[in-house]
Amino acid sequence: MTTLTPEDVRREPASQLAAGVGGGLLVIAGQELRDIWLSARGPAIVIGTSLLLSLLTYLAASNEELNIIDQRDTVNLVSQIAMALAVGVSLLFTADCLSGERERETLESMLVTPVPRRQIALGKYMAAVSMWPVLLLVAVPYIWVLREGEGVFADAMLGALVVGTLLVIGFASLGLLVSIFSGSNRLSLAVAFFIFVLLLAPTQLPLGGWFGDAITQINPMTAGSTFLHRVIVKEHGWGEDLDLLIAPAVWAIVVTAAAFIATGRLRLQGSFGR
Amino acid sequence: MAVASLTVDGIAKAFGETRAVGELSLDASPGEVIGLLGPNGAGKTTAIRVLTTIYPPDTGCFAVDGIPYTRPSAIRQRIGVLPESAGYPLNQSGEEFVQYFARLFGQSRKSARETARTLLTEVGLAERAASPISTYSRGMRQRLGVARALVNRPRVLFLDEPTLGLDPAGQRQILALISEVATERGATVILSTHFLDEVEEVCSRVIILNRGAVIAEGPVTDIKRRAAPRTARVRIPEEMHESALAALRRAPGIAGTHAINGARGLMSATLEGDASGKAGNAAVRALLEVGIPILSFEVEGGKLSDAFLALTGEAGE
Amino acid sequence: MISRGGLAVVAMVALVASVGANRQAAAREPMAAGELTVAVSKSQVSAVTGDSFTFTSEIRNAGSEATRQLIANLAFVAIDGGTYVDPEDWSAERTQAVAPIAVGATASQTWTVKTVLQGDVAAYVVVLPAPPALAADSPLAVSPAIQMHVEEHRALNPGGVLPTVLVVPVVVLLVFGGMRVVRRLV
Repeated sequence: MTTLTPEDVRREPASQLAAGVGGGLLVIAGQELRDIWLSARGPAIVIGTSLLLSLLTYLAASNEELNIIDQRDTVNLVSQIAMALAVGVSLLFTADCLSGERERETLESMLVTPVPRRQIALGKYMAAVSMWPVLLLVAVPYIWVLREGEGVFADAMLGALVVGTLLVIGFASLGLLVSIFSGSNRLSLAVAFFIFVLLLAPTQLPLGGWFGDAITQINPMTAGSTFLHRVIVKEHGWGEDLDLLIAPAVWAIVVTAAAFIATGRLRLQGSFGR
Repeated sequence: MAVASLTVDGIAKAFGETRAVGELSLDASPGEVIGLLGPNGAGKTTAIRVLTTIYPPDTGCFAVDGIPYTRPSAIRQRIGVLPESAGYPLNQSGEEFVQYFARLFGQSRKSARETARTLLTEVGLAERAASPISTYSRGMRQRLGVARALVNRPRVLFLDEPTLGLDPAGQRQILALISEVATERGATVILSTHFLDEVEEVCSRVIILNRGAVIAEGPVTDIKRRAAPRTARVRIPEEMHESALAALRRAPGIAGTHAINGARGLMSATLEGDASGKAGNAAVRALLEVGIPILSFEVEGGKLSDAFLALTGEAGE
Repeated sequence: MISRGGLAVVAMVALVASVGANRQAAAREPMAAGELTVAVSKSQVSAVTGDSFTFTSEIRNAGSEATRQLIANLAFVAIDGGTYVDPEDWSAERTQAVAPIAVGATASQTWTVKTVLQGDVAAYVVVLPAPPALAADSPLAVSPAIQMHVEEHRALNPGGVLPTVLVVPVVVLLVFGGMRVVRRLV
């Protein structure tokens, strides 16, 4: 019998990967979707979001009626909040998906099935990002009722869809990346949430000067938020500020690629924070 | 001669400076139940995790059903595992849980449902199949774990401490299941356990680990014979109790004597040496020479627990 | 550069002078201030929060020469001292350019005001030369103040959003509740 190095063991023959494509992935994704949407987790978040958006919409409409806030600003506010919520929730779901299994001691049973590690991770990822389209759908009636014209509605929905999708993909991948290496679920959630807040906070600050401009361009959250603001509120054409979509796109691509590579290194124990 | 379902050749695994498992080798045939014994930290769980492809071995190799360890996905198709600390999704029912794993092994929805129902009946959970796992007792969860480990009709079944935390009745059920899996399904079972009487009851062979090293392996009887001293149970007239004790203590090959349960006329003598019976003969001769009639003399084989203690030098179960 | 404080002082003087005068809906007697006089079409407005109204201002050139380019600016000041007034909230367009006015001619401007907060607030129009003619000692013309008394009005259904904000959470709840019921039955 040939003695091979552990590195050889980690390399799965391509045929086995190909054979596994689809089967285990769909089973895992299906189960995770059931866990999210048939338990209280997913519905509670969606109901909470709709209540929050209801409150915001009512307040915003009252203020708008009083001319304190412009209608386009209102639409922008509701769009951005729906987007931020979806990003945060997707991030926390993926941050829990593997480190949580580790902590609940259910990961080992998964790892001894023939489903490749990547498919295990991808199945959970797919379920986690399902929150985004649902929250976007919930936001539709609010944006519709606040719109002042069809143009605002279309800009808001399309803008939120593009920016939100890029951000959700990137942040969900970030959560997965943290979850793969974290030995403790608490640490995984804390690290993921900290990074989220770190990137979200500048969207609430007035960013001026060369440093503020740099932050706006580099930070995917500020870039996406600024893009949405310019399209909805300032009525810029889509082509005018396409450079602001670079950061969210790069974020989505780079972090997802890193997560994809890391899933091949999914282990029973995490690398840090045991 | 049956093809080995599990072949292990010198696997070793270390974590940093700590050697968890060193130079483990074995060949297991279909239907065999092999006990993996050892105190805490001996390397049992690590060994199982290497053989179940959770950890890659640092050195050595192994094969399941002829499939080399370099194809972990193919190996996983052929093994079933009940990990030591297996968690369960509490919001799922037992049937949903087993069905889910059946589907992960490639079964269709319909086939997975049938597999789940059959297995849950076999492990005695048919009536609770639809109940959430959160309502299951520890014993029920262990049986559920065994059912889950059997979804793919494994060639080799790894059970890490399957009876831990169970009451005697629960332990008995699991052991019966293990025997049935080995005899009726023809699967090889690797049973890691602390409970030595379990090993004696169901295992044909045993491997004893200590601090990552294999310190003994072979059939249970061999282990007992090699490592555990035999004893002679002697009955003599009560009035000659003290004389008999003194005579036995003077006899060669007698390691110790004591009264059994404090009763007069009934004593146990520990016999040193090999199985040839020399020490036993010396004990009999010693009594006869001083005129003590022997009412009964029975030689008992050493217990596995004694062998375990002797080999590991630590307190076992 | 004319400071806001200076404008406020001028406005207060104009306001005090207008107290006790005969109030009518028609244009009031113009207040002279240099060569220009500014009149407004309203003197007093009673409204509730969320209302809006329009008024016109008339700038008359009582001088002997045509004026240069002018700026008319709509300003607000709280009379009760407690109300915070942000001019942006009260009127979207607070500055209008006025073309040069010939001798004896008038120019009119229309203004829209939204009463956004409860309280007593005065509005007035200030006319000043447009830059580059504007200087520190440029004469100003100020209109009489329009006194606005605003009561609070609670709109139950601002912008018609109430049905949506109530219905959507209920629908979401029903959808997920229905899913659970169907699952239990199946």
